[in-house]
Amino acid sequence: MSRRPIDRPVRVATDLSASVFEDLDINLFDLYADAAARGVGLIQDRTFRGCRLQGPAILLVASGVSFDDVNFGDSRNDIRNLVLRPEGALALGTVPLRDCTFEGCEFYNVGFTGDEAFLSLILSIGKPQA
Amino acid sequence: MSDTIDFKALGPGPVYERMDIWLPQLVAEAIRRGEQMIEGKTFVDCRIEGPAVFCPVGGVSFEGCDLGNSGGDIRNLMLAPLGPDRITGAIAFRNCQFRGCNFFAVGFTGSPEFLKDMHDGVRGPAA
Repeated sequence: MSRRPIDRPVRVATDLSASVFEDLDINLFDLYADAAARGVGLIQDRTFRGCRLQGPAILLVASGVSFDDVNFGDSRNDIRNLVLRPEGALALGTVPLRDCTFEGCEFYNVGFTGDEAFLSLILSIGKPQA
Repeated sequence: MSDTIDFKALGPGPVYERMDIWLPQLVAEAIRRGEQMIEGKTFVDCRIEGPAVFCPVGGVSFEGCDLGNSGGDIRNLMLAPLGPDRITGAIAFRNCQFRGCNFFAVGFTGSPEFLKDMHDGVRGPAA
């Protein structure tokens, strides 16, 4: 059964070092800052279920990341509005993700980038409406 | 002992001089003031820190700034939006001046003209 739409009251995540987040609201910068403070410059090995994830942020989707039953955000009927292509190999300024699972989550003011395989995948989700 | 970190408020400006500007904090404060973007600000000799992706939407100028460690290829700082209507997840700036600022972990996106200017090494106002 789908967890979406998420219409529960706000529940802000307090333990940002957790490996599993369930039915919580998370500011992505806070999550990244918590990891960075522990010497990890990316968000890695986390599972998110039924979470609302807040930007502004652009996620660099690396290996081992899966999305199941998620709302990527307000694309205004064109998923390309949520997607950026790195001009170089490093994509500096983004928030890297690796080995993370998102189930039944919703993203707010979040853009997505990654390698060409990921871009092809996400762009295939939605086509612009005529 | 508190289990949260309190950052000193950056405040509304409009001039920020010799300050450490953590962009997520700048945005959070702007949102709390009901502002839709960072507009009409001047940053002088500031350290501008991400991770964040910077999007100039008009009237933004850089003078004597270091846009960051590009690893030898300025394209590593650049992301091209694919959408025709909007750019999601970036931080929008309008009518802002940056003088003598150093950027860290900040990427840049925007119009094709802005990205071309960056690529060509022209760091003037955005289109």
